[in-house]
Amino acid sequence: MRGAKKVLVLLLPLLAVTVGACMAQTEKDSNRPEPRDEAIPAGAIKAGDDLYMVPAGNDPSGCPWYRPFAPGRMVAQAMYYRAADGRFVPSREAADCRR
Amino acid sequence: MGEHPWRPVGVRALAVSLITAVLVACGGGGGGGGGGSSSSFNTAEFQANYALGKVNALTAYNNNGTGAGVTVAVVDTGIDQNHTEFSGRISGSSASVVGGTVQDTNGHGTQVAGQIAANRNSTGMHGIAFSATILAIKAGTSTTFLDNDIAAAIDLARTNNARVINLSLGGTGGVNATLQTALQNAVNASIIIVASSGNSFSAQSEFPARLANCTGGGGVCNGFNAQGRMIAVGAVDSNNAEASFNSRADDTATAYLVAPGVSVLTTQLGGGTTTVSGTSFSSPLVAGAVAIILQRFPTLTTVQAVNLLFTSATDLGAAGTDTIFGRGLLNLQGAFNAQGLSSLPTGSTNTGSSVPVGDSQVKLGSAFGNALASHAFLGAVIALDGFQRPYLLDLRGRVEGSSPDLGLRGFLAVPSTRTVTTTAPGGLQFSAQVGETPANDLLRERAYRFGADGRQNPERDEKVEAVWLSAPLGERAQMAFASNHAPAAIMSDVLGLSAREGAPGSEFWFAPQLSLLDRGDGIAAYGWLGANWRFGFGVMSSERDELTGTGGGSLSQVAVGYRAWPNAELGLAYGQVVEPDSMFRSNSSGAFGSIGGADSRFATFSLDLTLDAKTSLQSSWSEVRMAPEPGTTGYLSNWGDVRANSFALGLTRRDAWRAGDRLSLTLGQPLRVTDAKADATLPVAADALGHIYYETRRIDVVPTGREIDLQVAYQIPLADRLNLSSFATIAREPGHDPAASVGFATGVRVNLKF
Repeated sequence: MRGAKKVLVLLLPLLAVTVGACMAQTEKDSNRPEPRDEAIPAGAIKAGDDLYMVPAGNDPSGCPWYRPFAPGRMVAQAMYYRAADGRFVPSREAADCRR
Repeated sequence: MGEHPWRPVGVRALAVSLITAVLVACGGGGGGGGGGSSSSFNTAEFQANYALGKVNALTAYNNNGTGAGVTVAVVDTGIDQNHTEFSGRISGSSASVVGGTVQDTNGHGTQVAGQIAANRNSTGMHGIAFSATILAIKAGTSTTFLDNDIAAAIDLARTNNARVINLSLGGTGGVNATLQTALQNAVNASIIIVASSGNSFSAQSEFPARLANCTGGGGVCNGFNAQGRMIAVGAVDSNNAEASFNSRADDTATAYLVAPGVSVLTTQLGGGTTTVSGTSFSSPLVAGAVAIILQRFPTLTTVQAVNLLFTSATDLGAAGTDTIFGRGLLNLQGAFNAQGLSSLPTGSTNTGSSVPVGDSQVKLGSAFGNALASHAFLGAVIALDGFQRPYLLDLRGRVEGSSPDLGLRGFLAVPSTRTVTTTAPGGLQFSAQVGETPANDLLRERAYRFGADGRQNPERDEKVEAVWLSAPLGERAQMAFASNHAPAAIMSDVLGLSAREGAPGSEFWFAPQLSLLDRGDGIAAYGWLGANWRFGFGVMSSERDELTGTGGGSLSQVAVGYRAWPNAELGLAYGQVVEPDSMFRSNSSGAFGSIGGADSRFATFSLDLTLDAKTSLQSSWSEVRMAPEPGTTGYLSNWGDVRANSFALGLTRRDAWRAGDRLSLTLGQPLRVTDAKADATLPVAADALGHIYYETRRIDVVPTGREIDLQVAYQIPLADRLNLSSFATIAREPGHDPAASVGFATGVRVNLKF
């Protein structure tokens, strides 16, 4: 019994640190409540960690463009084009309108 | 009217130290310019970004609206500190809340900042508020942002003197408590937040823009109160059509504007420019416009600045505020125009006492003619719009003259339908005019026949309109009592004007005092003393006309005539007219103050010649001196004594063509002011702090023209009870206005007695 007590006393700080670390990690992730209605739109293309590009038709010149979407986050409110290398860019001049 | 510092200020001192004419008055009467293509700001650099022209930014620039001295925070991905378009534009307090420096590595923040304040340097493009200061705060390094980081950036903006915060970011999942608190703290600190509505083509705006019109209720507002300091911004294209990606106004409509956000040119990370789209780029246009408004109109509160942009927006879509375009398209020209209900200041500041322009007027009687109309001093006066912003107003538009009569008023007076006359033994005569109308006045007749609800009165009871009772005083004199008769009727025989019968309006040239009062009650006595002396005296009083506010008062008159030769009579008449609240039928209201009344003394010299048994010549000259009573203090005050005169020459022939007819030819000048002065104390300048400065000048209130009338009148009995009357009057410079066209009036009337 004495031995178990000793182990517990040694483990308690470790336990506290572990719990504390877990709590910190949880706080960092939950910038907002769990999004209830933020389902990923159909056709969205994954463009990065937690970032999707949603097809939004064509711009006035007929070039396809996209809007960004990130569940649980806010996004820049620019429209994006697909460049030749597949990246998503905001600049119309850099767009590859075949994509 | 309230206390005000009527202190005279030298014009030169004003020119040195004060700002004047800050607004473009509607119609171009203000001191600034509009947005015309001839503006020096309409350069290739300006035109490179079509968005600036679409929101009429040139009007702002032409009126010194550049955003100088206003800090706009851009919460975004940072800014390209090396871009030449931001040289001198970036606040030294710019920083990152996500580690590292504020240097943009993504590009979005640089593009947003360019719309706000890219330099005006003859290259590339320039921002809408090209002299504003950008406080760039990096809240993310990529296309996505965390609520807590955005909150930290907003807090940093608030504590570093930002007056506007632009948020070209958003999402559909609401805001967390930390972000809501940061937004609340910012608006509570009177910071204006401008946020993109979103690009998801949704019926409602995304967050945080969706919170723009919250007032602390539940639901999506969750207790947030924007305090009237938040604007959601959607996007339109170059044709003002809704952008295909735009998230709409819906329940945020009252705090929602649109601005160009499709294919706009802006600054690019690494240098140069690029074409971009999204509500990310319509929002900074509005943010920059807010900076311009705050800079140019420092007396506005932040709530007023936001409301100004709302009320001046160009309406798009369905009339009024709608669920797609909200308040409409940002319009800086509208924002620089006078908005709302205008008033005239009477205090020392723009937020002090004032009187609505619509309540301020000077109505000048005909004797004053076009006085005040040509005074340049009244042509540029400080007025305040509905936001208490000063602008220049031509106050002469609030001066109303009187239409020249030319004999129409008397001629058109509709006679009563019946006159009952009774003559008693001894010469006592009684007559009563009986009719359906309460007075021989067209305006009153219309008012009587149609009630306040516009319906015709069903009952038309006959009533006595006017009464005349006359009695002989010996063999050669008469006394009369009259009720509700015109002054000319009561005083005609007192003044020896019987020859003027049938020549409508000419009696006023011979006896101008008769033109100052409306119908009333009076007593008169007249006759002959001996063979050569004619006498007359009379008194009357009348009530003010409710429609014109003039015509009330009293008239006392004495007259003597002496038959110096068998065919000539000299006459002298002296009369007094007391007007309790007008001055030669003039009154004023509102900021002008009110006229306290007047005491006028008339002296008339006349000479009548009998040329033959049927022909006579009448002439007269009247001099008038009027002493105004002090009224309430206003823009016009301290009136001096007023002088005026009138004259007439008339030729009358009886039995000219047929027995019983009468032909008259009259030349005359109606009453005309020849000398009148008043103090005009007018607001002539306003400074940036809202102080109003007044200047006092002693001005002449005298017409610049002289009306001369020539009248021909003819009367003839056609049958026993049938009479024909006609006249024609031609007037040179009617209304004593040299710019007026020649006036002409004519009339024919047939009277049938039953």
